[in-house]
Amino acid sequence: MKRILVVEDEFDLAELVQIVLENAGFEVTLASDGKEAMAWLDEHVPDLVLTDFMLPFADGGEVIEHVKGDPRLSKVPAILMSAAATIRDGIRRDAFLKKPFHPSALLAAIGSFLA
Amino acid sequence: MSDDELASFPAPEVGTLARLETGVARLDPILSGGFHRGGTYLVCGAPGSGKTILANQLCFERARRGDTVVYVTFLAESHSRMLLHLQPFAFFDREQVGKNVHYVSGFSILEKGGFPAVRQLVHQLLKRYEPTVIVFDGAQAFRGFASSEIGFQRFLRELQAVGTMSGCTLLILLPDTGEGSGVDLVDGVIELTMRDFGPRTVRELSPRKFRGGPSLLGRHEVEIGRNGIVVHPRTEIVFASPAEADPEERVRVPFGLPPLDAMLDGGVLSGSSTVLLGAPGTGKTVLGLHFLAEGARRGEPGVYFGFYETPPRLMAKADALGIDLRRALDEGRLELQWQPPLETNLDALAERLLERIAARGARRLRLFIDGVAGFRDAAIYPERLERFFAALTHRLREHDVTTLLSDETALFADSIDLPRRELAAIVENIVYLRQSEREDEVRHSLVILKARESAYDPRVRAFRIRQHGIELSPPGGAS
Repeated sequence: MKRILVVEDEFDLAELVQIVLENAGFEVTLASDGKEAMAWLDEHVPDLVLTDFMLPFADGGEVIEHVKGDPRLSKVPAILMSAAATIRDGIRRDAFLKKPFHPSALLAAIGSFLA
Repeated sequence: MSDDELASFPAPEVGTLARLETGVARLDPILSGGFHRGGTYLVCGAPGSGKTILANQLCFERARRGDTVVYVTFLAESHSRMLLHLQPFAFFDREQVGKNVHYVSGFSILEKGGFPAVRQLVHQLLKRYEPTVIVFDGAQAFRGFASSEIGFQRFLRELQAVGTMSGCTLLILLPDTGEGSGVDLVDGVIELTMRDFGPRTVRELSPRKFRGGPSLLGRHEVEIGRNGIVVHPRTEIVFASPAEADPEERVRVPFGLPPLDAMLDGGVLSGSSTVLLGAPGTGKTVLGLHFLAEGARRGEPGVYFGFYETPPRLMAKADALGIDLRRALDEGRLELQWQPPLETNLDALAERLLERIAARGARRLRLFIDGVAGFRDAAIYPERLERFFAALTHRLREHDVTTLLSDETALFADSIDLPRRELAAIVENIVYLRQSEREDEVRHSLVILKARESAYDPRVRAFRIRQHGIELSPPGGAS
C-alpha cells in the first residue's frame, strides 16, 4: 500500500483528505504543522507528500525543500496545496492544488504520480 | 514563555502609544484613533455579529499598508471557507493571502500540546513574520484546555505580555460577552451584538473598555455591506461638544414670500433651524421649495434632503408651481439628496447629510430636510431623538447652515398641536401650517408659533397654493 504524508493544519480538512485517500486505497500519515512533518520525514520515506502552504512553525515550502534537499527523499513527489494566490518562487513542488478543491481533483493529482 | 524568548522579539518603540488604524469605517474615531500597537483586545460577540469580518478587515487594511499579519484559527471556520466568504468584500485582496496575510490553524497544536505549544507557536509566528497583528479566532477553545478560569486568564496575560514586548497587537475573538475571560487584564473589549427590533435585526458595536485614551462609549450601529463593516457612531456623542459661538455674523434669510418674511421680521436668522409643522397636504414641501428657490435666486447654495419624493417628482412639483429650481440644479448650486425611507440607520442619515454639507464647503447654505419622520422611522431607540436632533442642529449651525425641517401632524386637527418634544426645545422657529374644512372647501392657514431671538407676527394668515406657488393673504384673512 502506498503511503502519503498529508501536512495540513486545519484538522477538519486533514481528516477529510485522509478519508478520501484511504478510501482510494492509500495509507495516510497526518502532520498538523511543518515542524512535525519534517521530524516525521527524518525517519520515514513516504511515496508522496501532500502539503498545505500556510502552516504553523514551518510552511509547506520549507517542507518541500526538506524533501527535495534530502537524497533519501528527493525522488518523492511533493504536491503543494493552498488557498493563497501568491506562493513564493523557488519551491520545487511537483504539482499545485488550489484550495478549495474537489476530491476528484485531489485523486487526479495524486494519481498522476502514484498510478 | 521564557525571558530569553521575550527578549528575542523585535522591540517596540518605548514611551509611545502608537495607534493602529483599523480600516473599519468610523471605528477609529470611536477608539480615539485605532487599537494600540502592542495592545491585547477581546472582540466578543455571538456568531453572526461580525467578529471575523472585522478582524479580517483589519488584517487586509494592515496588509494594504505593507504590514504583515497572522490570522490563527482555533474553533472557527476553515480557512478555505473563510476566504470564500470574504471574497465579496471590497477589502479582500487574494494577492495578499500567503504574502502579507497568513492563515494558520492552531487547533491541532492546542489539542496536542496545550498552552505551551500555542505559546511556542506565537513565538515562532512573531519571529518568522514580525507581524503587527495576530488574530486568535475561535479562542473559546482556550477555555476548554485551561484547567481553570484562572489558568485561562493566566494564558491571556502571557499573550498580553508577548504583545506588549513585541509591539504586536493581539485580537482575541470570543463568541460571547467576554465576561470572566480576563476582561480585567486586556487593554480593551469590543462587543458586537445582534438584536431584533420588531422584524428588523440590528448589529451594534460597543467599546466596553479601552485603555490609554477616551473612547466613544455606548452602542453604535454597525452595517455589513460590500465594504465590510461600517460603524455609525451615535451622532450625539460624536458632536457632544458643540461650539458656543456662531461661525458667521447672523443675517436674515428670507423665504422670498414678502408677507411671510415680514411676519418673520425679514426672514429666519442664518444658522437657525425652523420646523414647518403641518398635516399632509398643507404645503410644507412647497414652502421649503420656495425657501431653496429664493436662495438660488440670491446665488446661495442649497441642499434638499428628503425621503418621500424622488428628485424627478420633486422637480415636476416645483415646475408645476412655477418654482424655478432647475437652473440652480443644473448649475450645481442646488443639490437634491433623496433617501428612500426603507430600512436605514439614523446615524448613517446624519453622516450622509453632514458629509454632503461638508463636501459643498459653502457659506450661507440653505438646507431643507423634507420629512423629519424619515429620521424618526430610522431610530431604533426613540428616546435618543431629542439628543440626536440637538447634536445635528448644533452641527449644522456650526456649518452656518440655515435649516428648514418639515414635520407632520394629524390630518384635520381641530386645534394647533404642540410640536413633537424632541424638536420643540431644539429649533429656533416653528411655523405651523394648518388646513380646515369650511363650506365644502379645504382652507390653508399659517401661523408662527415660535421665533427665538426675533420679533415675529403671531397672527394667523390664510394662504393658497396657486400655479406660481404659495400666496399669503393679509393678516386676519385666516379661516
